[in-house]
Amino acid sequence: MAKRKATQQVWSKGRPLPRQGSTRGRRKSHQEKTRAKGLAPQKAKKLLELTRKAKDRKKGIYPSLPRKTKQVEIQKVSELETPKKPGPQESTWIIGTARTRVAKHFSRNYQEIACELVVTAAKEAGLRLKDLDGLVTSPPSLGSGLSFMWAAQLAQMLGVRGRVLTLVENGGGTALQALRVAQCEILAGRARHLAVLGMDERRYDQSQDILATLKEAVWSQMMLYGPYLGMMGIGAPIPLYALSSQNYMDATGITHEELTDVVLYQRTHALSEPDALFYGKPVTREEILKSPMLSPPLRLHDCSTFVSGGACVILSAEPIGPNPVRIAGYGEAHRGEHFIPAEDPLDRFPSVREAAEEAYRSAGITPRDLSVVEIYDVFSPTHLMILEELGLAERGKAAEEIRKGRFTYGGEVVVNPSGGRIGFGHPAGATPLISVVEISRQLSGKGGKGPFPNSPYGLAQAEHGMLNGCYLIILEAPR
Amino acid sequence: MSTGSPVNIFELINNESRLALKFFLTEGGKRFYDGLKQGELLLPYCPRCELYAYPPRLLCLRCETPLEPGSSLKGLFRLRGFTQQHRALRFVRPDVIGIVEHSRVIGRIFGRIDEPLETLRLGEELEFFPFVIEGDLVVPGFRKPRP
Repeated sequence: MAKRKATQQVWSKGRPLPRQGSTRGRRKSHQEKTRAKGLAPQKAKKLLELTRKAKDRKKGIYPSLPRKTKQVEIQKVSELETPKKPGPQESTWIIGTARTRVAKHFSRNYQEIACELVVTAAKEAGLRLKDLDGLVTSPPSLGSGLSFMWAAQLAQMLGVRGRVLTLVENGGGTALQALRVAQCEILAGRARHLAVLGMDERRYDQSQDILATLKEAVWSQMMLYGPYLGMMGIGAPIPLYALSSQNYMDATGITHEELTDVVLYQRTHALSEPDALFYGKPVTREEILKSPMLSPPLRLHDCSTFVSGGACVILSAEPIGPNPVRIAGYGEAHRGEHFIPAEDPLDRFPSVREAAEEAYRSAGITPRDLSVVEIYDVFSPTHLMILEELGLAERGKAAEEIRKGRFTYGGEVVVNPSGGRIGFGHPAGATPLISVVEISRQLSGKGGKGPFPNSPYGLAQAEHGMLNGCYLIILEAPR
Repeated sequence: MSTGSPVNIFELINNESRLALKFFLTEGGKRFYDGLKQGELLLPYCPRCELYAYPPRLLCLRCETPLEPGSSLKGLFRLRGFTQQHRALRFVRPDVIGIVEHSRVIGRIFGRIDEPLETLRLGEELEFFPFVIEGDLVVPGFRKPRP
């Protein structure tokens, strides 16, 4: 007892300890707790230190460790470079283009192809990737689920930093919508150079598990068409376009023979296009007429072929690079419908007419000023209907104009020098940008086709659903 | 399959469709499909315009009034388009599918047309009947009026 009293006096440096029980009503200090455990002062100090470190670790306060790697210096906001921000713009320019050859499936990984497209387009524009202010992209494959954070993955693979990183999706209009987003960013002064990518890798039928594929198909149909149309088992929207085609043919008296003319001239354009699915593959009138009936009145050769493909354009606030093409006008219209319209006519596409009116007005031109056009013509009757809605032919007269040669080389306006969806192939997520690349190249003289009428204007058109919405862009060649 | 038993593909598609319908249908949509099981065409109704809406939606397209559950739609429908499918999950050729209009409906109803393709003409009148795919899986069906 005497020994304990002496120890207590040492601990308390001579001061008498409070009587046991005197700490009632207040928290015991660490020293007191330690004392209660009967630890020596040095050990208690060490334990105290360890306890503090453990608490710090929980809070995330680590002692600074020697770093092997060089630390990245974070610039202060005031030190950031600002010359990239160009201020509001009046015009945007396509200064670089790239596209793949289309095929049923890509021969390489889609990420490699995406990167290659951006690098090629930037190189054509005379830019390095670090010159880009960002990316706007489609999903790598429409409706496949590959879109999960695709834009961020792409930016990481390319090392592109900047103010813009966006993924957009709206069916067939996706890639042109992406271009529009990029254009708006540049016009608003948030970016100077942006890469716009459109891709579509058709990954269906790659699965070995037929049951899993069927289950996925049921859900895809419900997602795409909704729970009413989706119950009809529709895969590609061929039967839906068949219904509008039937109504158009009934209203205008257009015959199957006349539809054959559409396929023939589009396939002829594709013959000289190395990137096209039907490059160097001619077709005869008899082959078209005898091709299998898919959805009456649409035969196999009346329909575009779903393929994999991609395209990229570099959009800029400045007309730099060897062949800048100006975006002269833009139009867009949506009818609040999805595939089968509730009230819109079945034999016409009002969205195309509305978007075209806006685009012509914004460019200050009329349809007669166009020298080259790429339209989203996934079926032969749709080709005729779109030409008429664009004001390039009177109602029911587009087929006649085709027979006269007005829409091919040597005519008044060349429609789909690429071969269009029927001749070129149709990677839906990329198709509008493929069209923009085609028009840009033809207007800047890099396309190697022609002759084209002597007018600096070209047009590319895209849509979603069954022409329920339309995107239109008018491009102008450098003067 | 590990059991070695053959898989009925149509049964698989139908079962998956039932699951998907549960996920995608709104209240109006559930009422529509429940009505089909009872042999009725139950569409949402706008009391102000006195019109039905297809596909089922929340607001009237014309006056934006919230739609109410409607009574069974009667009368004849006009055929506005018909075709067949070469490849599909269901209703493959020779089945005919198409769209019809009704004077009291905003929208065009998609359904199975129970007539041979070559006998159909645009604009002809059809009557509604519930087309049973399998068990409780029913879609709108249309056919020439029976005497």
